[in-house]
Amino acid sequence: MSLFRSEEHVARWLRQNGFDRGQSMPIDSVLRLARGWYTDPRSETWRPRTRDESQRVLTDAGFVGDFWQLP
Amino acid sequence: MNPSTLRTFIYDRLIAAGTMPASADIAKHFAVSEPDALRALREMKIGKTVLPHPTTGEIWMAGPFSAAETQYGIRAGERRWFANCAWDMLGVATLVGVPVDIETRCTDCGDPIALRLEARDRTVGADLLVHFLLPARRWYDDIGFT
Repeated sequence: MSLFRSEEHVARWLRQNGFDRGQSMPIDSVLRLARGWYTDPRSETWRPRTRDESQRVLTDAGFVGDFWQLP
Repeated sequence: MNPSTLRTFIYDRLIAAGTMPASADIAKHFAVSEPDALRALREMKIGKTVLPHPTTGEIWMAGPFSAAETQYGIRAGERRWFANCAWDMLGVATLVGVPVDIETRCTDCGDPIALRLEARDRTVGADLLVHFLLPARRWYDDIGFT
């Protein structure tokens, strides 16, 4: 999950490194995802999320579609 | 020491001091031997959250924190952390719960990017993109590459 200035920069980096395109998301969407994904591991009630719980966090942050389906 | 107290110690140390604890720190804190501390790290079995380095056994990453210096730096006063990717960089900003200065760069051109993020900000205030190379179904095939 790499940071870029624009789609132009993404495209050039993919081309120069021989990678296939994945999916770009605005950084504000990724902040929304991070806010939901990372809960405090110091909490006594912390536990690893289930697959379905993680999928719900993705969906709630707007990461919807086949590309964002967890295994 | 059990997986829960070990996890709490690791993240307490990370967040409060800004340093990734070594097995020696864990051994000292819990009054156990270093081999026992390394064994405890191997046996935490808490999903993908804390990963020991495959050769040294020391903490490699404690999601979203990286033990190694990366291009994703997060600073709060004297404390400085690193993340493995742009998503984790925002995860560190979330977990530390204080205003942070993010020091990173464009992966393509290398131009520095500086961001200021308050603890409750819902937007970054910059027009930037995060590119996900792999679909979610492959994120855990090789977490280092991902």
